[in-house]
Amino acid sequence: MIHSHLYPLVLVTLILGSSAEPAVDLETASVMVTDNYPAGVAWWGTWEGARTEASRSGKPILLLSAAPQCHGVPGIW
Amino acid sequence: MDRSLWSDPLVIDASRKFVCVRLATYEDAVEGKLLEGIYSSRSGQLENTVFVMLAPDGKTRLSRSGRSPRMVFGGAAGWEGTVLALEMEHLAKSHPPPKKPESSTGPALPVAKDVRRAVNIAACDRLPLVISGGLDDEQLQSLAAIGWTETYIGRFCWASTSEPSQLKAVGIDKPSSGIWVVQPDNFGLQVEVIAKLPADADRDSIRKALDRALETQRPAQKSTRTHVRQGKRLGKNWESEIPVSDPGTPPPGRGSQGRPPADRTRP
Repeated sequence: MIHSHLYPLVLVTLILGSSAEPAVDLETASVMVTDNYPAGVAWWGTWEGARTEASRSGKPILLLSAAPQCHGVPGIW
Repeated sequence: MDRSLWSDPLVIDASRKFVCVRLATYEDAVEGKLLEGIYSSRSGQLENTVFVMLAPDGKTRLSRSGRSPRMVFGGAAGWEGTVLALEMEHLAKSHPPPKKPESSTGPALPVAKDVRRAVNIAACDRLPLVISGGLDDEQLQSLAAIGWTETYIGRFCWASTSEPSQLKAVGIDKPSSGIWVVQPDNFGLQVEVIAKLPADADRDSIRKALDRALETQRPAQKSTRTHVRQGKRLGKNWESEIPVSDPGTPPPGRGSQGRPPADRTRP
């Protein structure tokens, strides 16, 4: 974990670093990002798929779980 | 699930350095056991939400586990996204992926367990859904290559099936092999077809269909209280694969006449 007193410094580095590299690859973009559907996290939906991809890519795993229903009503996390 | 946290641009940027997996709690018995082993309440029950960071082996923990990133990493109100992004950048730097992946093929499609759950998840995320029906390996790989381009990454949910019954169950009347770009209804039970392509559709046709979906108006952000109240009134019910065991969540049906839940923004 990062020591909390270092957060402001790391944040500035992060912002400056990320501003140098556009989030959207303009070469491959056929539509520009609109407010309708801004960029999002690309979630793997199964553990099997995620394990296979982590093994293929060597990337660490961010694991989250959430129930796609509330009080038995679907369509909401 | 804290919706604002996962739409934070810093978190999204950092997420590209990770394999991000969001399991649907209570929707798979095997995954339920896995989640229980990672984090459960004092009573030993599987909670509604679980969060942890793991090494690529899927076993070694890179962080404590908890119900949410805030529980694990902290962060003052309004700064949770920034704190999470910083922790992610820190972890990514200390666990860099190999220069060249072991496999020469690209990532597969990040599909949900089945079409029914994919439609529900797409409704939760308010995103269009792409369903591949009966595609061969080469066609799936080609579709995945498009799905992982920066234009589309994180803007769609994905499902794949070879069973026509799965398509019929969500309202696709004449299921056949091909690619379906659809919009889920508000409750994630049925779909409206935006485009249907043949299984051997070329890249341009697929891109055009995906672009068409991104041109549609995104469904409005939902209020938990209103959504649940409306869902109860309309009889929109969901049955999970395993029982909902979160001590803070009554099982479906119980308390349905009572007060709807307060709006929630974080677990």
